[in-house]
Amino acid sequence: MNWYYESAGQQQGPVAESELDRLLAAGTINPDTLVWREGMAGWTPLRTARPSAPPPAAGANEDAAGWEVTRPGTPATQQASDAAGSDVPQPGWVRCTVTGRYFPPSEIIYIEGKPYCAAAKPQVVAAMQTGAVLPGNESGREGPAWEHREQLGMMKALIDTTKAVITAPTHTFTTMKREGGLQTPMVYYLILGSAAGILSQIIMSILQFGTMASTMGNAPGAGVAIGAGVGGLIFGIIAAPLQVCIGAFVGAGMVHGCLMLLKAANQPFETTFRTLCYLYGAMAPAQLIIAVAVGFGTLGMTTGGVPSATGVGMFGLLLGGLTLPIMIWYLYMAIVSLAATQEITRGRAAAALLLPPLVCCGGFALIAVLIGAAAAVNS
Amino acid sequence: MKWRRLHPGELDHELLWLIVSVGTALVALLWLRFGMPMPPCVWHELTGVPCIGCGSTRCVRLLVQGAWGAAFAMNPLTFTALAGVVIYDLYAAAVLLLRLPRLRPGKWPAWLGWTTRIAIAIALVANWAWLIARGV
Repeated sequence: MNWYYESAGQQQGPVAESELDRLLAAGTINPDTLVWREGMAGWTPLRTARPSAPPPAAGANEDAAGWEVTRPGTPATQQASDAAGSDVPQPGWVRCTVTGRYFPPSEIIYIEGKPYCAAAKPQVVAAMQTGAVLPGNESGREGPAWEHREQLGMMKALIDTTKAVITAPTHTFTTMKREGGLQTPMVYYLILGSAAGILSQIIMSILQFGTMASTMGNAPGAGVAIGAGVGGLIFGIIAAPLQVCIGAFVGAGMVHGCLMLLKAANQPFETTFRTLCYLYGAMAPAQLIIAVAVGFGTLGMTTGGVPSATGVGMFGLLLGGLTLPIMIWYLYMAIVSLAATQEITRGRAAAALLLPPLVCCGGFALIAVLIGAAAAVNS
Repeated sequence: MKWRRLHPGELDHELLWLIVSVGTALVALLWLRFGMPMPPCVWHELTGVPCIGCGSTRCVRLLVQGAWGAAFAMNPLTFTALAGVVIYDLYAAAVLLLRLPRLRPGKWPAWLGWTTRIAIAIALVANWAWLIARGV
């Protein structure tokens, strides 16, 4: 059985049980040293994790396992600077859960997956000794309702979260839990995103079949076309959850990359991912409206000669009219949510969100035209 | 940059992005094979000028066919990005299979951060100029 132990603020190991005993006997570790092995919920003092451990070496220094972080080979001034941390994020640095300051990974110790700096030691040790919840500065960040679905029930949590994100994005994301893994928000988005994706596929296919029926009738090849359409529908339904998963990770990855480029990634990737999953999930029904609008619009155009086409096209136009306000609200929500969870200005959040579509969709040309126009006006 | 082992409970980026990239590649290949519709580039449709991402789908198709030179010429940035993904996936697979320590960035000097940003901007503009010149 392999053990990990904490020494000088760093994780050490894995070591075998016999080696752990030897370290204890040598005084390298002591009964209060935090240890962990596979299967344990979190880091625990050795005396609790292995009550049967042999007694420590006489005179073993109790402070040996303290969180005083020193690294051989690093200049003392740099060590002091690193140990003091930084208010602003630095590439690769980690945010202490208690102090909220940023430190190089070597100055951080992880307990139950949460990063803590040396200054957090008294609070963490006190919490561990009393069995209390490990401290953090995320008080007030317990939402949204989906995080409490076990108490609220799945359906209520789903509806409440969606309603809260759409109607009160600032409050929702100011109180959103920024830690806790990727799984919970991913499931939320997977449910709503897959449902919207599958429904879109079905509606689009029905419209497509309607178009084929009106334009091809009993013409040769109609059966083959319908067969291909059914195949596409089945593929689309199977691919919908996959698209949701991939879209969540790729989307969050791109936005977080842009945040890093703009020096605005105050929180880790986990926070960006959680934010965007709740946002994408809540907006999934709206995406369905847009997809249906496109479908009806297309049908209206392709069946121009059919008497019912005007009605179909008008319905598409009506839904299409909703698309612009939906997209504006979506952009507003995205900016607000990212600013609230990353603790950045809305301008930076907007820049991080708009950078990928701007770059991809000829944004440079647009900027060039705008600059040119501005220069022309000024001259 | 330094090599270190993952902390308990720390997000395993190598595993995560390996799964995401391989999953994306599989879905993309199936998408192309089944001839599913690809959304047109709105910018290209409206202006006739390619955007920075134009030619990416054709680049992937050419790569699948083994025409590496043509794939590079179709969109050099997409080609380079895909090559980067492949290199990362090989690294991720190696550290996962051999249970090796992971490569993690340390503190970046300010000059390196700005150099990276400027390099990315230059690469984007140069790629776009290439696409316009070639009429992709």
